[in-house]
Amino acid sequence: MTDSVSLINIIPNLSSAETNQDCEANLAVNPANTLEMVATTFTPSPSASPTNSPVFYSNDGGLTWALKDLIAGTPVLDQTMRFATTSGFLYGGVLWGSSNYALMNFDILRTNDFSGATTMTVLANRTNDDQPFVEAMTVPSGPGAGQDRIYVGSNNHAPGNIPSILDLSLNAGVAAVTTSTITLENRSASRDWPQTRTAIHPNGTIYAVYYSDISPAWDVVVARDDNWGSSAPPFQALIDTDGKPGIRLSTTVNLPSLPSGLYIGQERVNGDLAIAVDPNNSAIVYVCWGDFQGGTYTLYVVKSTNSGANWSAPIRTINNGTNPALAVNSKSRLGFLYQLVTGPSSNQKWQTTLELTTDDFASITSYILANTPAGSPGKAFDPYLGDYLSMSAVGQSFYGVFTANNTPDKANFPSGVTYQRNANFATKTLLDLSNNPVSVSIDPFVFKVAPGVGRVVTAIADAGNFGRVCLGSFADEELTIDNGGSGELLITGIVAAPPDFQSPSVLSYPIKLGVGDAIDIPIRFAPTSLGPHAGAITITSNDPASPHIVRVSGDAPAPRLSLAIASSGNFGAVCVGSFVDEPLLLNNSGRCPVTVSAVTSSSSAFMAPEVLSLPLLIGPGDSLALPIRFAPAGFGPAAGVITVTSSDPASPHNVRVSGDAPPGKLAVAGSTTFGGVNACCCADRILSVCNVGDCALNVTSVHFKRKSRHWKLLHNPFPAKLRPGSCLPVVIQYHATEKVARACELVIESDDPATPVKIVEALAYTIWECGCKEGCGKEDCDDCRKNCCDKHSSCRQGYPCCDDDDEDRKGE
Amino acid sequence: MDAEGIRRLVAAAGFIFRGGGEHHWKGETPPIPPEAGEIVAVRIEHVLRSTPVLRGLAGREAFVITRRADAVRQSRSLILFTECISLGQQLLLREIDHVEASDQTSREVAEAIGEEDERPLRERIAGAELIVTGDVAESEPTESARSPKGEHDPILQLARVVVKSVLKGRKPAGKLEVLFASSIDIAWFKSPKLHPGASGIFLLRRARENEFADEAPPTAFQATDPLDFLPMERIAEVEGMLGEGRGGRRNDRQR
Repeated sequence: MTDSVSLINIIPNLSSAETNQDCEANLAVNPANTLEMVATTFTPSPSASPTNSPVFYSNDGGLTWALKDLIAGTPVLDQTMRFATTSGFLYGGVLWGSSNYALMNFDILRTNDFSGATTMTVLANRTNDDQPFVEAMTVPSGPGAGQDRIYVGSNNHAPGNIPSILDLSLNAGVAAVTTSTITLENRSASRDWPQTRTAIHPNGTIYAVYYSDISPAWDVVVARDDNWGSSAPPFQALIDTDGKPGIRLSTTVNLPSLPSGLYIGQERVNGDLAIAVDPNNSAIVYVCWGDFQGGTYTLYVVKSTNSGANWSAPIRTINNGTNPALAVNSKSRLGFLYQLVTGPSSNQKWQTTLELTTDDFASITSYILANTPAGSPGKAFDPYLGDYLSMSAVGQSFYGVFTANNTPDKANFPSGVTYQRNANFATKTLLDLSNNPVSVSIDPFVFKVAPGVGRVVTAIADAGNFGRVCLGSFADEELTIDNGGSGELLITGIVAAPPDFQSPSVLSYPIKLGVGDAIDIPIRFAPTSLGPHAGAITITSNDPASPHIVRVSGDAPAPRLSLAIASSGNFGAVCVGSFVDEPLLLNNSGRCPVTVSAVTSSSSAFMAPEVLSLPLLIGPGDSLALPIRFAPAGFGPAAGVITVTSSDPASPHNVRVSGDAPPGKLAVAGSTTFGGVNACCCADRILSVCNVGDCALNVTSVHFKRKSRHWKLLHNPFPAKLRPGSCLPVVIQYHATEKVARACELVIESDDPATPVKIVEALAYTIWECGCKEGCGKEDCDDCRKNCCDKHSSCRQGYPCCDDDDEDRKGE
Repeated sequence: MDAEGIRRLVAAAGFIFRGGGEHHWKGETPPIPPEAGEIVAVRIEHVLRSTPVLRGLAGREAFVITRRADAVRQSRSLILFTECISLGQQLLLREIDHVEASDQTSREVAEAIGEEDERPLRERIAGAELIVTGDVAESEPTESARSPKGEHDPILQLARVVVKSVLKGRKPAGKLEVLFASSIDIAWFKSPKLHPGASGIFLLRRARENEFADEAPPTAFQATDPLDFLPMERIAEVEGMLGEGRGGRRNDRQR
């Protein structure tokens, strides 16, 4: 498991000039607000207050710290602080004042005001005690729910056997607090050692561990109370084989003599104890103790899974280690913090190590928090680093504090470090506020180790704007998902919405990304409708900030069809039976292909082209010329609408077309006036029947209105079609035999709508020169004419007729 | 304010400086309970008395919790008697009192600071039953030192001092035995270490009844305060203070 490790030197910036031996650190983290932390060390009041002593305070999760004179007493010696779980109260156990045990004050303190304007309230006070080590918890439920309960283990110097004791309050958050003192030692010990440590489980199980000096060796004893320390008698839930309360984990411990029988480096060692209970199971408890055997001081960690009744063999041993701390987080992960001297005697280092395990050290995640020179600075007093340090777990995170040489050297802090005080890491020099060098000293360092959390960091081109994508098409963009966190990132879902945006189908979630790893996920924009689109890619993961939403957008521009036709769609004159084609230009002036699904005409005179397979597809910027035919079936002007149906939202487009179908135009040329024709002669006249129109003229008939033997059409080509500008002759013959001139009407029939029937009057008369004209009676008129004709030797007007009169007669 | 008032302020204040209201301050001020007073931004012009750490704060801004905010805000030249209650990214002070920084008050404050700096030694000299110069000939642990009660145990030893001169009191007959704490624990490391060969000025008193009276012979003295043993270089200082004690303080310190 990858963890996030942060480490900070908590000496405030404005204290940059300080060179105190700020050792023996303790840390309290407010579980109700982990931004709030309080740390203590042997640090004097910034202004040498004659009455108060400071604590380090942070309200931003340990990023910055301030010294605040919260303790109403000075000088202070041993100090420990703890926040209750939910109340926000900070509780402290503090020794201060006289150096003489008999006069040395032991205060139990409380506050929830960290402004510095007021000092902590003294809940209880007495003298003659050592190493008060406070633990606190708010009762989460059941009887006493909401009450703050505090347990201050210490070493009472008043009795001759200097026993381990607990000062406790079962309701420490009220105005008038009562405390009681419980002596843990129940054996005939010559004395107990300074360390008395407790561990609280939310169900009310309280463990306490202490050293009992029973000559010739020391016992490590664990006592337990199952009701918040209020059982009667208290802390006697564990009875050892000797019938005494308190299970002895070891009875062969050897400890250096007090106060400084053993030094590791410059650090005095006089025993170490730590205890932690699994918050998920009050029966699981870990203990660490120090033992000096054969010239080697060793830390041992053991475990009980049955509430302290039985204990494992050591599951972890550390030689030359001291200052242990144990904590179990909300995932039952055990943290083991210790300080260890390493290296040759000429170049010894104090190595502060945090080991994390979930399997009793079968596998260990180890973080070296500091690896600092052990020989410098020279100590001003004992302890050099402190008789203890501290670590606790809040949720899954481990918080702790230790002290070490403060040389600003990155190599000394393998897991990284930040300083508030002025420091030049390049020159490895501490600086005061005026940038003058400052001597190295011992400083407190606060760390936080949180389970690594993945953090989704995404990148996508153009801020997720896919640009213009045509309907029916798509565009893909790579969405880069990077794990910018400190732990494995487990992506459990990538969902795109609305459907215009598509995420890839993943066969099996989760997608695992290691720290710093990245993957590219194709995201598709396939618009399902026209116009702008906005969407979101939602990435769900184990990132605490999940879901991570990536905004995407795109545009599906509308196809645009433009139509063009010559002469505004006027096809001009087209003869019936003929046709004219004009191209209708279809241009795609948009950015996407346009489909033409239909082209229709409202008029049969105008014909849209036949397309075998619709739709037609016109690419962006392309044009297509569709022939439109005007083929009039009748005369006269014609109009119609060509309708183009397409994917253009403005569809259908209508184009008006028009045209004209002019008829032929009949004209007759030539004279039909014969004048006088010598009797019995014939005379001809040619009449031109012409088409003076633009279109063909169908002359369907040319005939005389009435039959007459005097009139004959010698040449009649009709019916016939006259092309524009053409003429055909009609030859009219007059046979001058009629006694009385009579007009004859020639009828010309055509499809000229203006003159479908034209009548041309032919006029002629007979010149009777033989004299029989006047005397010609009816009864002998024919004879007379015959005689006249016979006498007629020539035809001055006309020509001799050779035609058969019979036929003429028949025609009369 | 009279000189005595100033002396009281100097004795009570851990951080004394000359400065005035910072009119142009636009930043955030630290949160404090309303009942604590009002916060005024001030500029520290000159540090008159402080710990070494705070001495470097001249020229910086600080916030002062005061009950006379207008007076502090409006004056550009005050002598502020304060205690530091928060030292972090910002400096938060609580005003004990202030005076206008005139030539006279500046002089009076400087004198009071000097007196206050000397006061611990002066009191130690005044309270000493015996002041001698001499050398430690030998020392040995007391009975209790053989079984220390805890890590803060003083690990008392009895030093035998060869007296060279007596500055105050009467030289005891025989050897001068002095109880001292040999422990270098945090509780005792500043206490004199009278190991053989140590030479200097011994400011001695009888072992206190409720402290170490049963740890040493009745005739033994004790030297456990850091000022109970001084290097010979300070003999003139000690003698001067002894002279003042006998003949009165210097005129300039009697005001």
